[in-house]
Amino acid sequence: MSILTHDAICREMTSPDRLDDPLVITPLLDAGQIGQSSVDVRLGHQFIVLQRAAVTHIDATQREQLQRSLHRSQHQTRVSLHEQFIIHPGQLALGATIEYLSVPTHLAATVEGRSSWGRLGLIIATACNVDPGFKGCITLELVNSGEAPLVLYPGVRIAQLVFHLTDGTAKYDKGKYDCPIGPQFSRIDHDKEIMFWGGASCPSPPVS
Amino acid sequence: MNKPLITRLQMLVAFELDSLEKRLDQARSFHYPSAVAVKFIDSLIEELKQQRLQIKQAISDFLPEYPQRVTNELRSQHRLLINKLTCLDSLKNAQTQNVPWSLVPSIERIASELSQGSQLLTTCTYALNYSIRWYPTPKSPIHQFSILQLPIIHKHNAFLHLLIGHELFHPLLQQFFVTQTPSVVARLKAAISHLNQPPAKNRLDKLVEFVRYAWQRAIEELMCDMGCAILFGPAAVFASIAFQMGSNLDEAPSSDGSFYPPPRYRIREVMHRVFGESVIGEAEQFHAGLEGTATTPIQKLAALLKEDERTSWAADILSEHRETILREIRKNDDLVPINQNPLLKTAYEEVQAVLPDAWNYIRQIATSAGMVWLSTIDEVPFLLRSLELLVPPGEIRDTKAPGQTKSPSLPSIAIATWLYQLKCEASVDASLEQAMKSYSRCCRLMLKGFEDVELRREYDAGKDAFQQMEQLP
Repeated sequence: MSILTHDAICREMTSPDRLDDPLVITPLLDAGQIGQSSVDVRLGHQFIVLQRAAVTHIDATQREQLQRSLHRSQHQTRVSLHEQFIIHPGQLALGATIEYLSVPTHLAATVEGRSSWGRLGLIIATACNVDPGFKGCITLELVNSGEAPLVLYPGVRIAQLVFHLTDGTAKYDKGKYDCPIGPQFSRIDHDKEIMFWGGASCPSPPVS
Repeated sequence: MNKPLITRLQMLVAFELDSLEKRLDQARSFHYPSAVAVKFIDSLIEELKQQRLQIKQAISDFLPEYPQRVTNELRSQHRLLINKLTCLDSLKNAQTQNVPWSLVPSIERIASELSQGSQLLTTCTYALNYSIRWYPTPKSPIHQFSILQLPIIHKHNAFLHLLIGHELFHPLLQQFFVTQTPSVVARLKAAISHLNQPPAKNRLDKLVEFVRYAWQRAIEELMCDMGCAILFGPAAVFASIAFQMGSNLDEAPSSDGSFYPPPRYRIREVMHRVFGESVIGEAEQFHAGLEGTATTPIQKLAALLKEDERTSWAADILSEHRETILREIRKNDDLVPINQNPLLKTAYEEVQAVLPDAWNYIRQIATSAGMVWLSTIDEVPFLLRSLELLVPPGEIRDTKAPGQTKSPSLPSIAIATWLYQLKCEASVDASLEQAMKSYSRCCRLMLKGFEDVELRREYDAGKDAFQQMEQLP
């Protein structure tokens, strides 16, 4: 697994051999976003913020209640350009990249926070792997682990993508998140086995 | 009215003023997808201030000598306040969470390009209709705002939202009717007088008014349909058909239905006037010597798509749908109920007489705003290739230089996404569930495409200003 450099990223985006499955990052507002071995991505307009007072708890194994709990506890909002989005210490907010990504099946990517934001306390993307074949805007899990509230603006360069060549090609299944264009509510309940591991209302474990 | 009652009336109005002002202040704290809502709120608050001043003035000028004048003034202000209550509803429905916010900047841009200085508040409604409210003769700052309503049930249905193009033309037709109506009314009067059973004289005016209204509603709707089709090309027709599929295509105009012309009639006129399609069948064309006439704009687009083997499927889809639409509009079932009713027949004969002028009027507005779908059709193949990769059609990328991109036009995005959607629909092995998933996905891709275009526009404008600032000493 090797990391793609600037020229290799550009090649993946433009090579005529890759017309059927190119690397697409759109909109790429500034060619300068492509760095020596990564691509800077920007913060989008949409956020999902959690409302602590809305539910007692979230139990991912209770499928029927989960979606209700998530809709009660998570509030979707949209911030226009030049408007502030404030993330308080200890707060989790889901954002997304402005850039929509189409990753070819022979590449994978990782999302990494930019150290400049990290030094202010902002942790970005805990689930940082982007599968080969992924298409969509990347949901960013933003946590302010600092001491002071942080002001974010849509459009700022918030994270970076590092691309890797995979060993072989992968078949991507759109699965739970189908070409998202903004942050997505958790669909943990779509995990096939989650009900099994759950509490009293779950089916009995299989007997061998 | 005696003094205690005047005081009570004064308190009622003061209470309403305070309450409305507080609610407007609250409304300001919500998220809206553009600055228009806040401007709308500011204008309303300014009007409330003026109302307060007028009340104060009336009381100091006319009490205690002229209590009736004060009463009249207070009642008049009360009526004005009641009229403003609907604005609160509009503001609530204009909040970001209630509207397809990705589209709002594009809608506002189209509106301002069609009519300089227009202020458009985009809202949603529970009614299943697109509509626009505006003031033909603005008397106060709040009257500068038009209020666009989209059906909330179709909030995410980007394909139908192209019908907004239709609504945006409604406020622009005033001049046309000022010019045309007098001569049309004169002709209608003459025509109705010559009907087999001429009406009694006292009924003539009422009948003329009925027929004039049917005429005006038909022309209005047809002009807006044509305007929408000039903006969005065949995508406007696809959207219109999709929206009207739930109704009877041959529904006769009636007072119950606000005298909407039959959907088939509307599509026929658009196909004929805007796209130059022949509305008579091939046999009739042969007899009329019209066979093999010039290529129509839709055929031109199909030919362009055919040039590249990667998009030739779209040419086939487009041609196939064109043929289907032509087959439908060559049926004249919609004309039967119109021709059976002498008054509607008279109105629609006048519609046909005026349509060439109407078409020229609309074409002039759209052309002078630089908003004609045909001028950017060369972008459609690029966007189709993006869509084939499930990538939003918001950029035309230079395949040689990454980062060198340009924004496509809104019509090209709409046309490309519609063609791609029609292809998905035609997929024989798709279940209804898959088809619905694919439809939602296409809606998202189209919305993201629109959003990216506006983002780049703003970014490029800001970047230029930023670079100029950096050059300052």
